[in-house]
Amino acid sequence: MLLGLKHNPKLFPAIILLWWGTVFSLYAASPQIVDAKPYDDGFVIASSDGMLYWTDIDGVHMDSVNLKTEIAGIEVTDGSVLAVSPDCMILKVERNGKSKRLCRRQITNDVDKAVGIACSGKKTFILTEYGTILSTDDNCKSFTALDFNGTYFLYYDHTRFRAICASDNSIFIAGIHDDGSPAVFTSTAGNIWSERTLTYTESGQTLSLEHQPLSMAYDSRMDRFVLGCTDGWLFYLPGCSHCNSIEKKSDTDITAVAQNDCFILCQ
Amino acid sequence: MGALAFIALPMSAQETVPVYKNTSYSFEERAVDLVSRLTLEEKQALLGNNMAAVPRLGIKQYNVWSEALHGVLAGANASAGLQGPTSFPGSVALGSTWDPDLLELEASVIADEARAIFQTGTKGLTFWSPVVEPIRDPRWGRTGESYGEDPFLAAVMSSGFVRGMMGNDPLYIKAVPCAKHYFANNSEFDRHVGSSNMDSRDMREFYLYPYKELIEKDNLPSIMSSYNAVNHVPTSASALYLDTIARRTYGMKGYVTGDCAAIEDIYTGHYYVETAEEATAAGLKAGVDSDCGSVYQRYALSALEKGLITEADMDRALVNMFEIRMRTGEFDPVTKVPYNLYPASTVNSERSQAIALEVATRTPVLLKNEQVPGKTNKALPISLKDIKSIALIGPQADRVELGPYSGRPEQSSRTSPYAGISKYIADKGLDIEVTLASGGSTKSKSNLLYVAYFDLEKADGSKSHHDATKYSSSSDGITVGSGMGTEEQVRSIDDGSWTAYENVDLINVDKITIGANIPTEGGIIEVHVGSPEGNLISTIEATRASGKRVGGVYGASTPMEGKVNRLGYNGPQTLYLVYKAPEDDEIAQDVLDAARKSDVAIVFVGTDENTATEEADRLTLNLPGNQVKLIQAVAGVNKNTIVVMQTLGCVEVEDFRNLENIPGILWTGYNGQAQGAAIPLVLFGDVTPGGKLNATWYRSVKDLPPITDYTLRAENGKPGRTLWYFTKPVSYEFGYGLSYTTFEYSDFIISKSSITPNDKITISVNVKNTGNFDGDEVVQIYVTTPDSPASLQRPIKRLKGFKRVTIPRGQTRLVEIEIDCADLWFWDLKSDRIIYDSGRYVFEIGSSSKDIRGTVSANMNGRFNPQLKTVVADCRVSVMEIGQTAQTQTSACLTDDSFIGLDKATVKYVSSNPAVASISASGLLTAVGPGIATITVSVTYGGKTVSDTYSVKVNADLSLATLKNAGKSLLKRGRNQFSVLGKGASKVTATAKSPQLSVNVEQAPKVPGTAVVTVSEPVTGDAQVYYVNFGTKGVSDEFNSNSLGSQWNVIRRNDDNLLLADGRLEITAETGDINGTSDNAANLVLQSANTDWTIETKLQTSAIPASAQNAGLVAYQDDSHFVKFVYAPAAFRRGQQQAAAPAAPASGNLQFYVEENGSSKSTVSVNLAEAGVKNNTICLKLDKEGSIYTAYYSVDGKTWIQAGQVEVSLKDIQAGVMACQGVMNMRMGMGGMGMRPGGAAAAPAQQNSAPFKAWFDWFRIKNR
Repeated sequence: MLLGLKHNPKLFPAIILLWWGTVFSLYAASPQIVDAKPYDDGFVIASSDGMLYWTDIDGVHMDSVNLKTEIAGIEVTDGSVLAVSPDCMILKVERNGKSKRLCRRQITNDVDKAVGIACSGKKTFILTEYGTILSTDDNCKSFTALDFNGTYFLYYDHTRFRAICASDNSIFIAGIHDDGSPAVFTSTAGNIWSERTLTYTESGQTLSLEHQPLSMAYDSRMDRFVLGCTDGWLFYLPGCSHCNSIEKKSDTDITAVAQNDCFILCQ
Repeated sequence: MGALAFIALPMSAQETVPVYKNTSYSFEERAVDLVSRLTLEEKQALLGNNMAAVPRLGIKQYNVWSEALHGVLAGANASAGLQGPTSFPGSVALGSTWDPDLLELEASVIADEARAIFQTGTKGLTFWSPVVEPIRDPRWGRTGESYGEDPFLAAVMSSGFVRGMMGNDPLYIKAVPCAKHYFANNSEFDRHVGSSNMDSRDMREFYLYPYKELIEKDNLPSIMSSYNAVNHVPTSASALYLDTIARRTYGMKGYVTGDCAAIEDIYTGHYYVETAEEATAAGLKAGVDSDCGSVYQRYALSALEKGLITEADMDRALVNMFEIRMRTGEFDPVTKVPYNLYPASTVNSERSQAIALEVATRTPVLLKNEQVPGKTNKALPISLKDIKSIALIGPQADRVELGPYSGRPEQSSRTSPYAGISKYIADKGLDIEVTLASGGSTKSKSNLLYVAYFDLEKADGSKSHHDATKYSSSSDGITVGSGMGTEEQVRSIDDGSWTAYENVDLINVDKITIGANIPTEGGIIEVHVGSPEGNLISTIEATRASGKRVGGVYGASTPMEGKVNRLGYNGPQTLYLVYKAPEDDEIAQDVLDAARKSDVAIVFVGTDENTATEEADRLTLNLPGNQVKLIQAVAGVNKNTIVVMQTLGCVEVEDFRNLENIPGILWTGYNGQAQGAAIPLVLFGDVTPGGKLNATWYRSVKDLPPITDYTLRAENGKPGRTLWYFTKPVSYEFGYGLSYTTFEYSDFIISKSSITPNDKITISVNVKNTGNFDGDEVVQIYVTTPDSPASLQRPIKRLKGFKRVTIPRGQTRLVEIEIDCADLWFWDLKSDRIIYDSGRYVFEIGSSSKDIRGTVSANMNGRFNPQLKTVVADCRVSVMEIGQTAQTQTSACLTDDSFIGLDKATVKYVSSNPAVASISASGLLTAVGPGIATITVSVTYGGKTVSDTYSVKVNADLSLATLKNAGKSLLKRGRNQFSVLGKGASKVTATAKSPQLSVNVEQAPKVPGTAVVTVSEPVTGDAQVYYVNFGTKGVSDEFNSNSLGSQWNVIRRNDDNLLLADGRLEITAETGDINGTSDNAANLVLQSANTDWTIETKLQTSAIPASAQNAGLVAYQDDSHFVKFVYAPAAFRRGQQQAAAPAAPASGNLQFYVEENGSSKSTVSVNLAEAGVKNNTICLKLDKEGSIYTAYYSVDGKTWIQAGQVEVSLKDIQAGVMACQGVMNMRMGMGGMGMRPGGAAAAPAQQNSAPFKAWFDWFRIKNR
């Protein structure tokens, strides 16, 4: 069913735009929404001040939990929400409000910060802004780390990362090169990374994505990844590597995007 | 556990150039060697077009996908110093030149630009061009990308492109062309799901002919398997099409890429298999080496795990791909590759621009040139001295339409007809008024909309959702498909199309929302009840003009709302969605006024990339928009109306071509960036048009069979296809084209009157230019076989030779055209091979397929003794282990494209290096020793010998046979690091298991010390390093004295921060660390520990480590090689809200960090939140066994918990304790060199104000 967004600004402290092909509603507030993921028949949305909001498919607020810590990204796995803070604290959160700190993983300096968390298969990945990719397959008991920018020094342009997203067999990480151009890399197991071409065709012309990615979602219906970008653009990354497409959704940066039959965009 | 690759090559091994970088080996051998070095995960990551970088092997990232159909597909790239690449005339225009040498020149310049772009690192050298499929049906959306209708023309022109791209270096390829789309991909709307069904005769004679020619004659290095199925088998999953025909029959050596998502289509479009893994297996085993998509890269390993493929299947695909990359010189020294010298300025250089212009003057086809009504002169060329005004009219008059897959030069390099004509007249200093009156539009009326669903909303807010693709009936031609996406949509919607839906509840419905995509211009959706003409209840304008979203041909639907007039329906109704094209605009009066007042009106009309494209065929052959009306209207007011068409191919012209007021019609395909500069040269007579139509121009689309019908011959009332079989009247026949001059043919001669398939004949004719202009003529030779039985339905005629010649006026030129009689074959359905009909072969010589000026003939003796043509040998394995065997599989194909059993031939096998791989007389290959070997398989049949080769890499067994010290064997199974405790002799002797390998022993200079044993394979450069560590017994220390014992060695000692007191060693942490590039930590308290051991300490810190502070145990070779097991911080950082986090005791982490060659190799982290650490005190233990390090911790000193295990080879090891403040050590900015933007190599982390101290109660070491 297609219903409009029932929105309570007190509960949703940021702009939320629910979309099923069109814009249904738009609200403005702060702090910023940083991530969103599909959850059962709805979504779970994280704001930077530590709030998690569960909604139904129409964006109607159902539950919320205050984690009382800054959140960089969330992932849903086995019915629970994994939340990672910028300093790499990983929390496992249940919808009933119970939460458990799994670990706080040291990042090697205090300039870097986690930007997102994603699960693919049995592995959980945490991505930091400067390209450390932490992975764990033992419920966060131990981690291995890949220094992306160091590993691929001289092979891929240096990248500052913004978002990570995964499906069962693909991991996508997105960010910007030093010159500000957008960058997306893909991997199947998190060890070997390929750079994804970010060109698209419009009116017969091949163009390159110019908008910076801020967020990312996996669209399970169409088996594609979707970048939420600056200035309200969505950039679709299907399996076919040069069949990308772009769509303007609003005028404001899309800080979170998720798909669960329909899309939810957060700004 | 973090498992590590342990090898660190000594210099001697590093100096051996690995085979894959050694230019003395063949490219295949090098590719095999490279693939042998890849891990499985790396192999998977390299199976797609986005090939991952593998830094450890120096493999750069590489995108196999690039396009260069008529210019490198790219725009300007200022940061790389590149202009937008030159856009040359496109394929349909080039096909109309009938000049393969000109096309070769164009392709050569494209390749020059490709090389210049490659030099900047922004593109690869593999291009998915050209399109070689013949034009079976002009509605095909990619007609404009093909060279022509007759497969001979398509093949000859493609050959020019392929030669130009590849260059003529005997070793290296300048740019790699890829012929596509293999094969019979001639309808776009169903390409992902459809099957092109045909018999093997049409398949071989028509669809496969260009591929056969290019592979056999031009060594085509790549083909692209198409989306579609042929005879219900996806081409991308067909071993018959790809392996048997392309490789084993035609002999293709190179790589096969799947079209983008073609592998995915195998299971999601064709449902040929059920899963992605099965599709991966189907594609790989059929012979698709690279997946432009992500199925291989996501599912190859799971397919391997399921036993659907073997690693050898992956290897073979990668060898094919890397061999091509190597043939571009990518892995060779820059100075060795002759094509590495193109500067960025090559791109769209003056030379490129000049050639683009030259080609553009040779593409136009003069379709009509008659007297201007009331005048004595012909319409063309326009005599500028006789006119004072020209009106340039039409939507294309001031546009530059480049066409698909083109270079994208800057606007300043693109010349429209208006700009070109204006400049021409200005340059000549002529006083002629040029009026631009664009008028008209090219708005497409084909594929108006894609419709996915409609929702009906009642007054009470309730909704019902309806799948638009589930219609109960529809108008003719409607299709359903999803194209590149997954949303099923109603497609092929033409003006007047409709779809109907029964039993729709319309009670109290107020609103309808239709989910539709606008692929080009859009249309009007009318909602009727009862019939397409029934009551109208809603109208939605779903058009670009109304501001609705245009999703393009790849787009998904967007909701579009309309108000519903209820009209009182109270029961289920049949709803009709009726689709209509927007009304044409009226022809503007000012346009007609401009035409009326001018001496000549030139109407520029055509198609554009919205008319038809990938995914979207034309539903009509009309000129899009209101252009026909425009032409007619202009002709109505100006008797001297010239029509200039630039289209993707045939358009219907019957509505205007015979109008008296249109005495001149000129046509080109998309004519590149110089189209506007070329057109005045042709219109005003500087150049005489000499092009010929590359395809039949049909009178009406209604004359054609359904686009989905891939059979060619007429049957059961269905017309045949192409000039081969089409019998109805046409507007312009294949090969048609006029000239400003005239040509007279005479003296038709054939060199032989009796021929066999083994003959080459020459047909000659004198052609005299009898007109008043210099000009080009294309002499065409068509072959008919009148003696062939009618039941065989041989083609009416086939093109088998042509030559474009320039002949000055008044002069005669002898034109000689050679025909290889082997090319006159037919495919025999019964014997499934090439045959030659016996009897007369008539060679029609003419100016078009109908304008035949003379004939010659010869009698064919159809008896054909086919000779051996193609031998293909492999053993299905590229990488072998010693002792492994593999059976060589050899196929031998004859010139009639049939295979022979090898029992009828003599087969010899020779190994280039029997010490590596021996081969038996029956082709059984045995891996004998390490290295690379190439097997040559020679097949002799009928006195002719043809050979093929394949290469294998036999991995070296780099293990040791003996390793001794003082007569005692040190070897332990699975070990590569060994320890000897004691002060005895340190001399080591070693032998390798494989006698071919060299063993180098670098003895330990003293004890403690390390002997380094390197086993290397001298040919391939493969090497394994073993360490023998000689050490003395360690000395534990309870730290009860006032000074450090003599066993200790303190790195970067600073006594100010080193204290022994209260039975503990106190280290006050200083700025620094040994991680990464920050090799400056002070007070590493170490002692020699160059054996196997267990070390242990009890550690207390003054606070929970903060920021980057850390303290603990270390096993240390140097600052770039060590294992560190430390109590490390929880790294709270700016903005942290620790207090608000869920309840958890304050704690730190344990970090188990390994560094090798200065790079972090592994980090295992243990969260101590639940460990019960009290007073910041924890016991740490590190156990070394060979190269395995195992870390444990304990909060009570009794119960030990394993923290992790890592593997790393260290030598000259010291062990001890350390504490440091740590530093930021990330690769951030500045190219990832460990440099901060400000320039400092490393900067201290934020620290607490109190000094961070670490107290070690003891250090205990137990040697083994």
